[in-house]
Amino acid sequence: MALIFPPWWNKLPLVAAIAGSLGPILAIAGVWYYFSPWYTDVGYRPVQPVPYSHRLHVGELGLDCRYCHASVEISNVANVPPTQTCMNCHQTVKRDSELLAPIRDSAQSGRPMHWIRVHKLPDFAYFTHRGHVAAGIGCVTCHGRIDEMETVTQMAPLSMSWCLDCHRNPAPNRRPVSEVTNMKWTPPRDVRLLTAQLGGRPVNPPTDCSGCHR
Amino acid sequence: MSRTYWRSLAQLEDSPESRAFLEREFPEGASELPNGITRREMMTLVGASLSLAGLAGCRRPVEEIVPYVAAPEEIVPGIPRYYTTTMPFRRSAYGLIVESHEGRPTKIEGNPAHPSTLGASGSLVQASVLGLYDPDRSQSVTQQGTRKPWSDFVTAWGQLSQAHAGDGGAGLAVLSESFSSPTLARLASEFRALYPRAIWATYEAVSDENRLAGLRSATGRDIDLLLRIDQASVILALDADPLLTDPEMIRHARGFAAGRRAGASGGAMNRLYAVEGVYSLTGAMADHRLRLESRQIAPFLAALAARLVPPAAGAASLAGASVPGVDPRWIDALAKDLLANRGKGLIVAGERQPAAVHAAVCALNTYLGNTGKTVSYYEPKDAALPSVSSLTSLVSAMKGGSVLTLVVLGGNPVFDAPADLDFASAMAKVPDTIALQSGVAYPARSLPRIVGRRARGWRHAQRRPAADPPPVRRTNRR
Repeated sequence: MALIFPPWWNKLPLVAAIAGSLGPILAIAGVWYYFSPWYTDVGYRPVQPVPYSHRLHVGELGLDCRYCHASVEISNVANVPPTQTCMNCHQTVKRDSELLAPIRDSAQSGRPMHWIRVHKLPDFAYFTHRGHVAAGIGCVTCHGRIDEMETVTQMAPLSMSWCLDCHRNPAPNRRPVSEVTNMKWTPPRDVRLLTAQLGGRPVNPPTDCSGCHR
Repeated sequence: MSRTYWRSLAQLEDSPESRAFLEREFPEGASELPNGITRREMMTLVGASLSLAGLAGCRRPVEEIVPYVAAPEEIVPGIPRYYTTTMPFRRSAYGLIVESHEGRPTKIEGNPAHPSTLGASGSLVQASVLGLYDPDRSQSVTQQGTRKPWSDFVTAWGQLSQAHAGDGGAGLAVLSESFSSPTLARLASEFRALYPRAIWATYEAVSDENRLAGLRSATGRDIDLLLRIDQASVILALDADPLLTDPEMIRHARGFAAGRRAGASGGAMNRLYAVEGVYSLTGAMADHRLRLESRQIAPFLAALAARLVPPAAGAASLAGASVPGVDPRWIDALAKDLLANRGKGLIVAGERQPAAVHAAVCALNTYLGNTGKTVSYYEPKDAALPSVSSLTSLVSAMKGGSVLTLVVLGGNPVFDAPADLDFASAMAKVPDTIALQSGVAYPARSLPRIVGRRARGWRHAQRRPAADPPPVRRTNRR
């Protein structure tokens, strides 16, 4: 009569112990990363109706962010520019470019452009650009090196824990308000010099629930 | 001994159909569809499609940003703009502030600087923002249900107006709601100058016509009243609801609350008596509420007046007069309170009450010295007052066939005119009807039915002449 349990079954407790301990760890780690905005949101790079290159306009030509996103200092939202803003230059520059045809159509017909939103916060989270800019948080801190992006890509997870990391300790991300749109700014080595640049203005970002979930 | 209950006559008869019905768990056709899908299969399919639909949530929705083509100079995205406006309601007007995001109104609140709202608002005001997005809101001219361009209406009205100009508008009739608006009044007088023989009727299903008639019989003039509830220490509401259903309710409620708060700052808190047949908000707020049929209000008022006013020489004293079902001591106490607060009391009667009650209330307020203090009277300016008799004569003219064109300016008389008049069949005798409405309403029978919109530019409204805004502490503002 053959053995009901062959000898390799002796290894079963060991295998079960390893699988039983590694399996949950892997599952937790997998969910931790793959279900988080670090995996689901970072790197979101939708194709826009016009392949506007921030690398060219900001990185090479040196346009200031606020030329197009004009309301960033006064409003909750940093507006996407109206067609008119594009045509300020492009009625003389690259007039016949195929890629700019949707912009010209929009300007002529009066039908607005439909851009795809890249950075998206949930509706239940209150966010204001005005306050962040006034507190000296640079564009690059949240949006990454826009001046090196051919197509705008989401660089930060925009998750609640990511927000809170900075709200609990904003100091490393602060810079003088005059340098907010500077993509290449680095803090001076001398802390006293940085403190002087920041001015005496203290910032107290809220960390309570109702700070953002109003 | 047990009783045998039956649930239908068929069961009592014990017919074979009812036996078969009782044996089945569900009636025939309820648990299986005739085309072969059973209820269970249906539930399976519904459940499966519902759970699969949940998977759609795994995909990140694509959201668009649609900027302006040419940005308006005054609009900054994300920063709301605030506009002041007025909302006419019957002959009142609410001063409002409208919050607008990129041209879309989102919130309507009272204007703190306007005496009729004082920064507060009511349910109608709050709901009015939804009306702007109502899918039934009329957007164009329609003729018997079909959309037409505005030019069609202009052409049609051009022909009609020329036809009527010949005989001074003898076949022309206008039915409007009551209004108080300098612009509308001017337009109405221009219309009358053009068509002197035209009929102009003013009708509202819910109106204060009784009160106006009462005041007219008491004073001989067409006057309306203005309550200053904030100035009153003792308020008696007779089948009246000045705090919720009165057109001036917002101001009244603020004034009443101010009178209540006076107690907190060392003054005397006001006292509210309500005598009414239905439970109103005023009754709920009252210190003393007496439940009384609406038709007993007049006898109640007579008994109260007998206690307030000393009998004339030679006349028998009615001071002990009673009302069935009312404790005479209740009336005694009320009369005593009103007499003790001469010039600081206020009696107000509801719109449901007949003209005689309103006339008596006017006389009593004057006798108690309240006139000019807690209640004042004014002549309505640029106003059209409601009048059921004008509607009655209009309907008889319509039935007689002398009305060739009827213009209905707002309102819905087919729905809310007195049923005895049978407005719908009278309207069927009018060859041409034109109705101006903010939303979809009854089907007008014939030619151009123009449907207008009380759109973002609201009517030019006349507010009531409030002398000074009552001093209201604004503690609960955002």
